[in-house]
Amino acid sequence: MTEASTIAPRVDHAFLVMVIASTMLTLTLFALVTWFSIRFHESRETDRSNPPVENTKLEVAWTSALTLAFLACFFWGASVYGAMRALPLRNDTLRIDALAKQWVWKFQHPTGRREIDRLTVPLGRPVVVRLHSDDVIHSFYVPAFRLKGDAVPGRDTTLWFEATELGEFRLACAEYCGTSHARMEGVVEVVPAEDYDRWAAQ
Amino acid sequence: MSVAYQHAREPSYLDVDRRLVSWLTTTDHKRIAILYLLSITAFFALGGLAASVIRLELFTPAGDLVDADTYDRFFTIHGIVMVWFFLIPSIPSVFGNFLLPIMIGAKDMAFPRLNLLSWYIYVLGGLFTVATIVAGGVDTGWTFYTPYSTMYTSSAVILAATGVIVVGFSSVLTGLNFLVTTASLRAPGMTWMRLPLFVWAMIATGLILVLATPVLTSVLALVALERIFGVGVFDPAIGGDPLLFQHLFWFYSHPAVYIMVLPAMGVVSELVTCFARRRIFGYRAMTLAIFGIAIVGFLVWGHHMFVSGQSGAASTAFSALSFLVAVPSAVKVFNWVTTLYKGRIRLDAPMLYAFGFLAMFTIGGLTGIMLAHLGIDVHVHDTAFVVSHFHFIMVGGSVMAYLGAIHFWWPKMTGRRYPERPARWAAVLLLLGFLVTFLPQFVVGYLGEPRRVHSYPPELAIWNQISTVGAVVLAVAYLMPLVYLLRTLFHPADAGPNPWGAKGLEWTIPSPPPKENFSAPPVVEEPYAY
Repeated sequence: MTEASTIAPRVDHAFLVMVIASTMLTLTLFALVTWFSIRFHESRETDRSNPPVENTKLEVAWTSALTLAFLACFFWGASVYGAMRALPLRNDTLRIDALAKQWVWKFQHPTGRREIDRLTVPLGRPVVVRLHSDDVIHSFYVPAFRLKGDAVPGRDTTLWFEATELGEFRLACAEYCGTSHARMEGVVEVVPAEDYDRWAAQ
Repeated sequence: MSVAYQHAREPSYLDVDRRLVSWLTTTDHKRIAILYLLSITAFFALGGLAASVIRLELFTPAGDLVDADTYDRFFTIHGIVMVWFFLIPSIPSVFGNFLLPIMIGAKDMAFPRLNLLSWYIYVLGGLFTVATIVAGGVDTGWTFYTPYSTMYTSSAVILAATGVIVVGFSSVLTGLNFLVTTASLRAPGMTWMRLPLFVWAMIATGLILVLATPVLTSVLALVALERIFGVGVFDPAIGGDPLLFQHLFWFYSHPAVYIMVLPAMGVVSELVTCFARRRIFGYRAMTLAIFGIAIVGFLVWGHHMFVSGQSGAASTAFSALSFLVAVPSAVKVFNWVTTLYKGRIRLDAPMLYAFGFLAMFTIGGLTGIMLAHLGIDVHVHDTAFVVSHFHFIMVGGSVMAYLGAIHFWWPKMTGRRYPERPARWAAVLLLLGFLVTFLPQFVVGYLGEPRRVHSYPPELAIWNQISTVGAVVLAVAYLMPLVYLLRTLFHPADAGPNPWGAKGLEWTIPSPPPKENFSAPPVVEEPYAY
C-alpha cells in the first residue's frame, strides 16, 4: 500500500512490528492449547500428579513482562503521535483552510484559489490544514498519508502532512455524517513544488 | 444418590405451574432467566437479520441493494439491538439470573420482584425499539453522535433513545440484584474466596452496570432535550459542545464493553475447569484481574477520541491507560492456558466454544493493543479495522462464550442432553465462519475503508466478498443449535443432576432444579475441587 507522506512509513513500521509480535504470541498460545489438549487428553495415561494451582512468582513475572512490553508500545505510539501533531515550523509551510459540510470538502489556498473535493498540494513542503465544519462532524482521512482528523462544528482543528510522492490520493470522510457519507470523497493531488506555485498564482 | 432423590422428587421449576399467567407473574430467578433467554434470542435474530443486509450490500462496491438511507438504518438498528438488547443482557440476564443464586447456595435473588420488573422493563425498552423500526428507523449509528443526532437527522432518534434509556433501568436493577444477593444470601460455608469465578464476574459486571448506566441515561436524555426543545448542550450553533457528548457517551460505553466481556470470562473459567477436570490456575490472580479490568476500564474512554479534537495530553494519558487495561485481560488468558496443564481434557462442544473464545479474544485483544498505539490508531480509527477488532471481542469472545454456556448448562436448565456431534460441528463452523467474515475486515480497514459506508472503492471488493461468504457460514453455525437444541425438548428429561461430572453447587441439585433449588442445606467445598 502506498506510503505517500513522511509519517506513513513510521506508522507502517509500528504496525508491522506489532502484527508480527501479535502473531507470534497468538501462535504460541494456540500451540500450547493444542499441545496440552493432546498431551493431557483424558484418553491418555500420563503424569498428572500435583497440577499447579497457584504460583505467585509466575503471575508476577508475566504481569511485569507484559506491563513493560506494553509501556514500550505506548512510548513508541506517543512518539509517532507527537510527530503527527507537532506543527511544522519551516518557512515554506503551506497553510490551507478546509471546510467540511454535508457532503463536500472545500479548500482555500493562501493565494485565494479555491477547490471542491480536490486538494492540490506541493511535494516536499509541509502542509497545515485547518479544518472547520459547517454542520455535523466529518473526518478528513487520507489513507495513503496514514492521516486522519475530525472536522468539528464550533471549533477549529489542525493537522499537517508532508507528501513524499507525486500522484493522486483518495480523500475520504471517516466520521459518519448522514446519507452520502460514503460518497463524501475527494482527491489529494501532489504536484512538484514549482508547479504548485504556478498553479496557485493563477 | 439418584435413586434417593427420585423418591423425594419435588416438581421442577418448569413443572410447578405450567400456565402462561404463572410464567408472566413468576418471581423465580430460573423462570425469569428463561423469559430473558426467549426475548434476547428474538432480538439476536433481529440484529442478525440487519447484519445480513449490511453484508449483502457490501458484497459489491456500488451501493446497489438498498439505498443509502435504508442502509444507514440497518447498521444503526444492528448496533442498537446487538449492544443493548442482546450483548449487555445476554450472559448476565440469562445465566447470571439462572445460576448466581444456585452457585452461592441461595433460594432466589435478594429482590425477586425487582428481578421480574427488570424483565418487564427490558420488554418495554424492546417495544420502543420495535416502534422505532415501525416509525421508519433511525440512522445515527448506535453511538448517536451529536450534533447529527440532535439537529440534523430526521429519523426516529427520540424513540430509539427512549428504548435505550428504558432498557438501562433493567440493567441497573439486574446489577443491583447481583450485588445484594451475593453480599447477603451466600450459604453457610460459601466464603468470598470460595465463590466460583462466574460469580466474581457477575459482581464486577453488576458494579459497572450500576455505576455506568446512569451516565448513559443522562447523556441520552440531554440528546432528547436538545432535539425537542433546542436546549444547547451539544450543538455549538446554540452554545453546546459535541465533544462533551463523546466524553459522556464513552464514559458509559467503554465500561459497557467490559459488561459484555467480563461475564464471558466468567463462563470460560467454569468451562475450562470442568473440561480440564482440575482447579483453576491462579484463583486469586483471576479475581484480581476481574477487578483490575472493571476499575481501569472506567479510565480509558478517551481512546475512542484520539482524532476527535481531544487534546494531545488527554490522548496520551488515555493511550497509556488503555495499554494498562490490557494487562489483566492477558493475565487471564495465560491462567486459562496454564489450567490445561496436567488436566484431564475432554473436547466436548462447550470446551470447543471455550477454546474458540480464547483464540478470538486473544486476537481481539492484541488488535486492541494496536488501537491503543496512538500512531496506528490515527490511521485505522473509524475504519473496518476497528469494526473487526470489536467483533472479535464481542462475537468471537462474548457470543462464543454465550453459546458455550447454553450448551454447558442446557442439561441443567431443561433436563435434556443435547446431541454432541452436531454441537461440535456447530462450534467449529462458528469459528471458521467468524474468521472468514472478520479477518478480511482488518485488511480493508488498514487499506482505508471507513466504517458505516454504503459503497466503497472497487479495489476493496474481493476482501468484502470473502467477508460476506464468511457471514453465510456464520449464519448456518447460529441456526444449527437452534434446531438441535429445540429438538431435545421433545424428548424426556434424561440428563440427571450432573451429566458433566462438574463441580459447583448447581450440579448437586436435580436437572431441571426444583423451584426452591435446594431441598437440604448445601455443603460448600473449595471452588473447582476436581
